[in-house]
Amino acid sequence: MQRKMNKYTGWLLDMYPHPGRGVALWLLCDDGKRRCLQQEFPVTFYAAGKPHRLRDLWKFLACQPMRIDLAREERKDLFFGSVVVLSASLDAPALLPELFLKLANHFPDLTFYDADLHVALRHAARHGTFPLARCHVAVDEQGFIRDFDILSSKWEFDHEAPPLNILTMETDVDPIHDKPGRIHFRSKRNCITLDLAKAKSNLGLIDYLLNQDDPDLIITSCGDTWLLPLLLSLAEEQHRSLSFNRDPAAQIHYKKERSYFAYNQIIYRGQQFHLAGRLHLDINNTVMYHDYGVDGVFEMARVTSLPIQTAARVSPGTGVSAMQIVKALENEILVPLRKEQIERPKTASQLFREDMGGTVYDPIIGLHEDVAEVDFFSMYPSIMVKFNISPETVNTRSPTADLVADLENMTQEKESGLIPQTLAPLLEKRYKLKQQLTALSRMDCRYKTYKANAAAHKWLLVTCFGYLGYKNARFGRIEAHEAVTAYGREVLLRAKEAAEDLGFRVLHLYVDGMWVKKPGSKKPKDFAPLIEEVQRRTGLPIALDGVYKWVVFLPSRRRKRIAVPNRYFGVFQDGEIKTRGIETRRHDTPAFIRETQMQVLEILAKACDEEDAKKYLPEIRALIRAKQNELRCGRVPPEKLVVHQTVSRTLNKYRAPVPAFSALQQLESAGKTLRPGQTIRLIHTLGLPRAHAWDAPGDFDLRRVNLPRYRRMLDRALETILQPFIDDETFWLNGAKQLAYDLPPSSNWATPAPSLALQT
Amino acid sequence: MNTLPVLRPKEWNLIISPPHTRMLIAIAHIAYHAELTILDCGRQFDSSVVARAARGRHDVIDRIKVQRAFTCYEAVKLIERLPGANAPVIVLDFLSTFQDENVKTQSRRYLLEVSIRHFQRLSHGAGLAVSVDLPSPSPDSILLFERLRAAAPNVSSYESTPQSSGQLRFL
Repeated sequence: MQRKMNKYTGWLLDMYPHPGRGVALWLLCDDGKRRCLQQEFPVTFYAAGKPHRLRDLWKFLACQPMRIDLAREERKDLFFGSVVVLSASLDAPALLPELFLKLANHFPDLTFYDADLHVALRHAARHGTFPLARCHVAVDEQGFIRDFDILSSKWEFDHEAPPLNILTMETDVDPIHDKPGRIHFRSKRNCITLDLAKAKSNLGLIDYLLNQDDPDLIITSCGDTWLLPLLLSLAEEQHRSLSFNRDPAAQIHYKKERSYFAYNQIIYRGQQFHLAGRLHLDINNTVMYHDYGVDGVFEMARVTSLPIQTAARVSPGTGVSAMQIVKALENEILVPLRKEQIERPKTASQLFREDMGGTVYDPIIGLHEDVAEVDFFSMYPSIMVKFNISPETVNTRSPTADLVADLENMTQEKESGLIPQTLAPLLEKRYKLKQQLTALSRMDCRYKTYKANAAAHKWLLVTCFGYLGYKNARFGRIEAHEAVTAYGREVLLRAKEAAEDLGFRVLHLYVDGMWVKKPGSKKPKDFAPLIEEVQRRTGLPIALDGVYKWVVFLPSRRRKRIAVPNRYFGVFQDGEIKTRGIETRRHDTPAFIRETQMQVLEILAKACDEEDAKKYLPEIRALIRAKQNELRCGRVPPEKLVVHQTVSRTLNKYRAPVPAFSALQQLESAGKTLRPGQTIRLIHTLGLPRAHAWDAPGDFDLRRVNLPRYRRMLDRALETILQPFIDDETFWLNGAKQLAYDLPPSSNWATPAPSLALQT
Repeated sequence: MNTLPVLRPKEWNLIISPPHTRMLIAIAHIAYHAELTILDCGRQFDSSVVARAARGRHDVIDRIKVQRAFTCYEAVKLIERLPGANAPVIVLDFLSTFQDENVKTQSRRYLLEVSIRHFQRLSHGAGLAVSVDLPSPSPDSILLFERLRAAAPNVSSYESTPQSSGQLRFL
């Protein structure tokens, strides 16, 4: 007898291991209903090692309470080819993490493969799924999926937007700064503000809102770190439940906060609350949220195949790793727990030659007019794809140094390595998207989404190079990392030669970019022959970033004759200002100084050339005087003087009472402990302690602001951008510096205006 | 450590010292006379310092074979694969990769025990020196450090250079 099947079409919203068997999938169906479906989904992991230890493992697994199918198999390791492994399959993916924990403790000498992979990645490799994919499913009467079709591709760039119900929850005050008093709930149907003092009695209303709105996506501000933990603990005290999870049988998945060291900096990740059947995004705990927003998060999830809530909270490096895992699973390549390759032995002189980065030619200091900036399109990923650089392809034919000189591929075989296979579709998608974006009007409704998607791609592609040499990359190899930079250096040198052969003067080279000028070349079309020639000589795509009306390459602050790479500012012919390495780009610059520097730049941007700029100096001078007076008279709102610094260590590890230490101490005594990697906000103050923690409780006495210090910072920022336009002798800032040490008239500081009270 | 680190054939030596260029200069001095294998576990091997100490002599620099480890797993794998050869071996900043909090304490202890077994094997060759920095205050680091110190037949300690007075001026 044929079973009766229900058929549904919709968007794949969420996927997680079912507590019983297989996986649970949430479908946002075309009929508007949200359905939780189940699918049989056995998962397999493998172990390799000495035969007697594999026998021990077999016995150990055979004694486990759950059903595990064991077999001896031959599988493909990316580096060693075919290897004999013990394979173990479980019907319940939910049980694998706990089982693997036991195995890692009992069998540390065995090599495990495919053991710690997210179920969504396995599903992506087997069925081609990805978050928000359009799917068509056939479901039996018990709710089990019997047939699964994916109707869209993650590599399309016009995705049909799912009709998500969105609920936003935010507090009136940043909880790190002060105790919030209210929570605002906003959805399509409701806009409600609740008093937090009466939160206990309002729990029923919150639960009602969650049930009535039944949101697909909950967007919170500090939801991970403050709001959800608070509401859930209040609910627990009251012995009642809050319907944050759509799936009542599933638990809210909680992840602890942590700080870790990567790429030479301390990174902090706050605790996380992942919901089942709904999506929760905390905008303060979403990586790059301010760069690409929700659209970018969705795109990140699509291309990496990671669940949306995970993709939002992990680094782009983890995203790249997920893409590599999916590709390896698709190719039936074993996925190790960690990188298995060690560096091959080198002599010290080989290391000296090979362990290098990109090419940098120091800029020619000063102001230059009609300068073109040409950049290679995603240079390092393009090199990986074009020259087939992958951990398994390096050193398989000739020494890298021999191949680089002739720009030859790593392997003669047509088959691409794992990394080029992973990156090629992403590069293609980004390339098409960038082309669309240049043709699209900024008013077009697709522009914002395309821009966000392009930003998500950019972060993935930027990270993929570093990930080749990253210590925790599963498919990394330091030689592959070195090969990429070797090709990069050769390619940029060829570009420089091409420019010089065509009569251009090269002003600056920086890894993947080149700044050139030639008398008579002013319009973009004048640089087209150069672009073509560079593409011909290197085989890599290159594009004109723009032609500057003028650009200033800055010298070192201490030694004016020494150039500093990648420290410049300039104005494109369309009026767009570009800055690198100056105060406007630094995250520890107070807003007041950043804004003032930008306002001066905006005035300068009106100038066509160096001579024309002098016309605007009186306007600039008036602005600076006004800003100096604002600062001196205490009219700058204190929040604009706040400096953001990353906490680099715990309090007891500071050796000197630097401002960050003093601010941390104040927060600590107020019961607010910051972990390394978190951002501390402070205001520089006179006397000791030398800083006031912005998030410390109580009002801040504005008379304590260290005005001379802020004045020095302002002067420095202005000097950076004005020095090239003004002679030293006539530089009015020099004469005006004495003013910085004048104390403000006391009447201005006696009673701070209410608007200056400590607020966020 | 003003001239050479302790390197005696048929035994292994633990050198407790903060990372310092003097160690690299000493490596160059050894390379004047013999081939040398360096396992760099803490990104301490600066080839330009060594090249300067060897006065740019290629024959000297090429006698030094270097391999770097970026995780404790890689460090152990490098040590496991080293043949008990005639060339002396220097392991730089060995415990640096064991500070990785992503690796469980139990795994780190297991890997340390494996390493110690291999240090004993390698000590039968031309000499082995293992350098480590003083541990960070975390209990795990201290435990690993103490275990390594207890296993080493010879231990030499070198004091760190005094803190720059610039740090103290603020106090």
